[in-house]
Amino acid sequence: MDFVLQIYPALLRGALVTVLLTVMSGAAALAVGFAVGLARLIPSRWVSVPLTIYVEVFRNTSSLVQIFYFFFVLPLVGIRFEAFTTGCAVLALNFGAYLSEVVRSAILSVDKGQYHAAVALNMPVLLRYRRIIIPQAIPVMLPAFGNYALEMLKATSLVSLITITELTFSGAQLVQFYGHPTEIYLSIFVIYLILAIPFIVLNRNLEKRAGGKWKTRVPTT
Amino acid sequence: MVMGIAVIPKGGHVLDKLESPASELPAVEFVEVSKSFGALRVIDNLSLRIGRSERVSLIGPSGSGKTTILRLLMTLEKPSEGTIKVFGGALSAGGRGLRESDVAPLRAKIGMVFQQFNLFPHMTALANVMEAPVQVLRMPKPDAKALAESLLERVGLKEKGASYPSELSGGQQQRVAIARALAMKPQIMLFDEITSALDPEVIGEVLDVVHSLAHETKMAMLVVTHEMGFARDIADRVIFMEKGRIVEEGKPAKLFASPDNVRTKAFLNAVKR
Repeated sequence: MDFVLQIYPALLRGALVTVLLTVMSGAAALAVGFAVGLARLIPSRWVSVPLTIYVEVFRNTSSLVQIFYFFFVLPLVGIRFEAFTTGCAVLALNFGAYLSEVVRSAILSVDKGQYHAAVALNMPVLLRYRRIIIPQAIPVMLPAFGNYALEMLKATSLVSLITITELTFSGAQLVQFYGHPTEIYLSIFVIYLILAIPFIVLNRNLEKRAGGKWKTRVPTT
Repeated sequence: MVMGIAVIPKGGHVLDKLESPASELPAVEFVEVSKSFGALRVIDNLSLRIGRSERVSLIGPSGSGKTTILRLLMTLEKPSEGTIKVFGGALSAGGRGLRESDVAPLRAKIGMVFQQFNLFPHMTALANVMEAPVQVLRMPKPDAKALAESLLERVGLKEKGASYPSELSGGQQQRVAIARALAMKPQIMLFDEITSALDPEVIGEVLDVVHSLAHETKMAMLVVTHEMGFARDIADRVIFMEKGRIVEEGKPAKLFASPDNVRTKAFLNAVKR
C-alpha cells in the first residue's frame, strides 16, 4: 500500500493526460462526425465519394496502425506534429468516421413526413435541417455518442505507444523503474474504472431519453 | 387573398382562353404532365386547370395518381414530363424542376395537409403553427404568436396551444396541422387524404374545419379523399381518376348521381358498399 501511495502522483499525472486526450479528441471527433455525417447527405459525388473513402479507410483499418502511420510515416515526407497533437488527431479522425455514420443514420431515421411538412411550409433546405430534422435526430444519436465516449476513454491508451505519457504509459514506465507490475497495473485498472463512472452514469441517462423527452410525455387528454 | 375573388365561374373551365389576363390565370395548371417511378407510369399525360377559389375533389381507386398530383404541386416530386404552373409561374418545365429561387415564391402560395399530420413532435401546438411565419416569413414573434393563437381558436383548439402533438388525439393533431398550413396564408390548399389515418369518431371534427374554411375563404382547394360524402359536399368539381388519367369530371351532383363513364359508375358502386 505504501508503494501505491508512492507512485500515486505519477499515475494521477498520467490520468490527467488521459482525461485531456479523451475530452479534446472527443470534441474534435464530434465536430468531424457532424461535419462529415451532414456533408455525406449532399447528393453530389464530388462530396460523397471522398468522404465515403475517408470513413471506410478509418473504420476498416487498425487504429494502432493509423497512429503509427501518422507518427512514424508522415514525418518521412516532411509532415511532423507533436506526439500529443498526432494522438489527438488520429483519435479524432478515427472516431469521427464512426460518429459520422451515427449522425448520418440518425438523420436518415427521421420520418420523411417531417421533411415533407418542412417543404410544404416553404422552408429553405438549411432551415429544414436546422429547425426540424436535426433537433429530432440528436436524441437518436445520444446513446451511441455515450458509448463512443467510453470507447474513446479506453482507446487513448493506444497513444501510449507514441511516447505520450498518459495513464497506461506512465504505468509502464513505473513498472520499468520499480517493478511491482501487479500493484501498478491493478492501480491503472481501478483508475480507468473510476474515470469511466461519469460516462456510465451519462449513458444510463441518455438511454432513458433516447426517444427525445417530448415522446415520453404522458398524454393529458 | 385580394386577388382571390372568383373571377372564374365555379366549376368552369378556362380552356377556351389561351391568353388569359394575369388576373384570370388559373391557380393551378398542369400541361401534359407525366410522372413515372421506374416502369410505373403514375401520371399519364395529364392536363388540368384549377381556377382561383375553385374547389376540386380528386377521387379514384388507390394508385390512380391522386396523391401524386398533390405531391407534384407541392414540389415533393418532380414530373418526368410536362409543365406545372401556379398562378402562371412555372414550377417545372419540360419535366425538369426549376431553380429553388424560382420555385420558392410559387410554393409560398401553396399549403398542404397530410394524411399522417406530420406535426413537428419536438414543438408544442402553438410552436408548430408559429414556426414557419417566424422562420420563413421573418414575422416578429409576438405577431406570430397572436396569429397562431387565432388560428388555433379557429380550428377549435384554443386551449391546446401548450400541448405537444403526442398529447393530442389524431383529430386534434390534424386540426393543428390545418392551422399550421393556414399560418402561411396560402392561396391554394392541398388536402391529402386528411381523414384516412383518423378514428371514425373524430373524422367529423376535421371535416367541419375544412367546410368552414371553404365557406369563409376564397382559397383554391384540391382535395384527395376516400370520403365520398366529403368529396361531393366540398367540391365545385369532382375529378375521377384511374391509372394516372382523368376518366371523368363534372359537377358533384351530376357525377355522383349519374356518371357517364362505366368505370366511374363501377367505382362509385364499389365504394358505396
